[in-house]
Amino acid sequence: MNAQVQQDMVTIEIDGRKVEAPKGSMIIEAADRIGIDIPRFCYHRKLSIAANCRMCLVDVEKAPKPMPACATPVADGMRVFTESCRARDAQKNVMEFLLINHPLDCPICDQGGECELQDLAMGYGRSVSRFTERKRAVKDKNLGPLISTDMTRCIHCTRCVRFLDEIAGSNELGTIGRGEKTEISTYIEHSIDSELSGNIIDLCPVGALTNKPFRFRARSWEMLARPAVSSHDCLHSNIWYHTRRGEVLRAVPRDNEAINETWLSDRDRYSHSGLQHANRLLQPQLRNGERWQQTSWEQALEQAVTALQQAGDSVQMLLSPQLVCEEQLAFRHWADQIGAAVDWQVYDHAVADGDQPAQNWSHSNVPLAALERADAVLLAGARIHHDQPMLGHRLRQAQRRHGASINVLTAAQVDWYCRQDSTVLAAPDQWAQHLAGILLALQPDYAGQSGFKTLMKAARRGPEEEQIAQRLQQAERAVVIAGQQIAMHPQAGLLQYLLRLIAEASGSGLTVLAAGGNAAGAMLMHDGAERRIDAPKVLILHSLQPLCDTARPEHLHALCQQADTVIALSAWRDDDLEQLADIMLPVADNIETGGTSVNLNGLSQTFAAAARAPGSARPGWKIARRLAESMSAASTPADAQDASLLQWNDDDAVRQAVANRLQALREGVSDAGSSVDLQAVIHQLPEKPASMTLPKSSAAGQLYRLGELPMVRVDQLCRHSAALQASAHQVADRQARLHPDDLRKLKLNDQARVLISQGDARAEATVVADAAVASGCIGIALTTALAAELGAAFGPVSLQPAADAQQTLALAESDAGDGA
Amino acid sequence: MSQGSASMAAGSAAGYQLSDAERTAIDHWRGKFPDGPQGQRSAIIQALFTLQEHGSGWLSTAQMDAVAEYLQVPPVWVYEVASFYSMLETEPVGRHKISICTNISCMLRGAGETVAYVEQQLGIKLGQTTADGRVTLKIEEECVAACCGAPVMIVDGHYHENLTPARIDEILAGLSPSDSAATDDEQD
Ligand code: SF4
Ligand code: FES
Ligand code: FES
Repeated sequence: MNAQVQQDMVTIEIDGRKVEAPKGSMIIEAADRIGIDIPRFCYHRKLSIAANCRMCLVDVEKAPKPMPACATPVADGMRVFTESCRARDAQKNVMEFLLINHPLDCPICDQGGECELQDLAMGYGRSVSRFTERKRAVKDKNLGPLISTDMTRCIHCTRCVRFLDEIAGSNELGTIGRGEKTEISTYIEHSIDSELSGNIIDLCPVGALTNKPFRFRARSWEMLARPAVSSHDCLHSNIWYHTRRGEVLRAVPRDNEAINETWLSDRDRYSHSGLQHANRLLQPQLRNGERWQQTSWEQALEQAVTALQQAGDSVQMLLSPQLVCEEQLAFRHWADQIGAAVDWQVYDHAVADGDQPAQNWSHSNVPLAALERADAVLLAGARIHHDQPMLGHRLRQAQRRHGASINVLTAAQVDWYCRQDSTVLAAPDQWAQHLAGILLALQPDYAGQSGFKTLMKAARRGPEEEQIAQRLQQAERAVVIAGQQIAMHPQAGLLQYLLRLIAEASGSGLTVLAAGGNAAGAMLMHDGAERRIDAPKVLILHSLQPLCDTARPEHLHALCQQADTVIALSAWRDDDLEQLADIMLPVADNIETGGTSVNLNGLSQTFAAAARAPGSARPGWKIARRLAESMSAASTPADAQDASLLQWNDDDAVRQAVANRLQALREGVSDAGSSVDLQAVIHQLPEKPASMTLPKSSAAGQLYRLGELPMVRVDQLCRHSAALQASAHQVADRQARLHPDDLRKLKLNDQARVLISQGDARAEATVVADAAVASGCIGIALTTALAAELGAAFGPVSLQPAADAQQTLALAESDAGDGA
Repeated sequence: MSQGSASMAAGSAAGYQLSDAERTAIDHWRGKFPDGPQGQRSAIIQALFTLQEHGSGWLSTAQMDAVAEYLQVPPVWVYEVASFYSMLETEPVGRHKISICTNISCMLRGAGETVAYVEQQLGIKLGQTTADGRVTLKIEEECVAACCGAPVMIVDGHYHENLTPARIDEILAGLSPSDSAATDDEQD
């Protein structure tokens, strides 16, 4: 449809009210716009038109029969009656047909009370059924751990089929069979594995598809809907948490066209069940040798203060980048007060390498909704549908609707749900060379520029790179995306800089992604302050697991062991915390504190606590304040400048402090005040790194490790969600994926047990042949037991058969302790 | 390089290899439709029909997956087509297929008795296959557009009108016997 036609408006009349509508649009859209309710089942404004339920029949003047409002285009002067006798009759008849095969047992249906069919049957159904024959029954399907089915209730609206085809792109459901035998099914039994699968629950107008973990736990009217913002990725999808007596029972999307539209990723939908995990930390715990002892808050804090005082200024804090701004600011203030260093960029490699600071927060100069209109995309180092599912969805729409070319630089092929126009499959140590190739194709001058010479000599400028350069340059709305794997890469600084230059040379937008949902908010709260974690006497961990939430588990492991005291604020009792911490303080999760977060477009959103923290868990900021109070009372006089923390008496005061901070930042960039968003503050172009040397490649016989952050294991909450852990996205614990050719070269069989060495670390694993992985690369998921025993997420590793290893390293045998 | 989604590639593991003749036939039909996924989708019916004719008279999941992979469409699109059309079989069938029309005209002209008679002669019910794998009685057939010759049945694609018990006996007797062709058919 060209712009001209789109602008053409016609005037129609619905139930006597005049309304303007774009030519070619449907009656139902115009009616919706002026609030005239036409009953419907199959129509959904975000899906294609199927017109198969016929519930929306309306009376159109001069038409010989009732017309479906969802599939009848408006015409100038058209007069529509939605409540005339003919319309009503038609609607009632359709309802009678729909109910022929639909069970009339709403009281035992999980959808009861929030069912579109039930609601409309109240208005259009007969009180007594005239159909006395047998109803059909359809066998239920097993669609996996997230979605429950009651297929007898299905009315074949095909919303679920169309969603998985058009939005998710996974095409997992179909209309199987014909006539009375029609069923919605996967045909071959398998679970629905789309990252967006849960949306078909919301779309299903009846109780055929319902939320499995939530099944029969509550009726809709028993629950309160609390608005919240998700923090598992940098988009901050809007959510309603449905709660009963302070407990979150389920999550559904809260419409926000600029972010999640009307969808929710499965991660955002199902993570909340982690809040009720049996391993919640409910009371403070103190280490007593090898054992843990429950204690009171007073005693735990007393012990913490003693340790802190003994440590003097050798105190450092590591905060999860997922925590809301309130938490970040509280610890910032407290750290300033006692002269402690704080770090929150847990996925940063550069701390060790020193010279190439990466941007470990997400930012973009392209609004999310505009991404959908992109016409060429370069996606580097991202498993986008897992990392930021809603962003992956926007890219897919860009291709579906605007034919965008999607070009990928990756170390492992995955299901991209769209056509890839160019793919550069390369191990991560080769990424800089390929990016240099694209840059060179865009701007050959770089070959001779000082500082670039070595890099450009190594550039790989093949046909794919040429084409990518050409597509970006020719496109009108191209976007370059630096994925979260780039931010975790040891050469992140260089790679992000190269992507910036590519974006500039091709006139593309730039999106930089990082793991850690509120990393942009954290960056603003810690604004420019020095980040440092290096052998403190007291190490404070807030809402993270030292062996999971880091790109360098070995490093953090060592720091925890070296420290005199490790104080962990955590909502769960995790193994690695029990092993490495000395004091565990129960803290409330983001959902239980509420707070402010800033997304990749600089949009700040604040929400109130949606659930009650269990046991004696407290918000982290209250713990920080208590500790600050005790310490200033005991020795250090409160620094006047940082006394603000001590004045935080309630949530409002904390929220206000964050709001003030954000406001000050806004005013820093413009005098327009709060109308300016924070995009200008967070969107900082990656600077030229001090050194432009190439990454240390793997030596002969070595492989380069790709550390993927598994979608359902990005933070503590997800890792404790039983539903997510049971889903198809769970990863095997001790597995390494590599290309079959590499396996052959190493003389290893598929499924062989191997010993992986990375630096000084060694760990046993099973190798799996996977042709999707670039040769020279080995995929090892982060947050797994295997990753916890190894070194950094990215870097050279070597492999040897476990049997050989056991012979040469007789000692390792007893250490490995792995009987499997 | 263009890469289909993984869900589209499910067929490769299932392991049916299209023969050269099958590929040629599918290519022929593919060429008749516009480029793009919808054109590929359009070629599904003929591709399935080709495989059914070349093979053992019905379509296995592995074969459907092979079609999906070859046409670069999601497997579920192929399953939808295969399960929709009554001339495509998704379960093993006998060497001969009999469909008896039971729609209105035929019903008025005694299709009920026709069905009963055929069932009795073959010793099977609608939807079943004779033990020797010779004949399958299809479960249901809508109006086959030969109402003026009602009652009607279709045997291996050939219409037989104005059926009487004698005529039916004749037709059934004309079907190849149980032993001869059975062995080489089943090898396919
Ligand atoms: S399962 Fe629900 S959404 Fe899908 S076709 Fe049936 S009624 Fe519609
Ligand atoms: S809503 Fe119009 S036909 Fe279903
Ligand atoms: S009803 Fe039997 S052929 Fe038409």
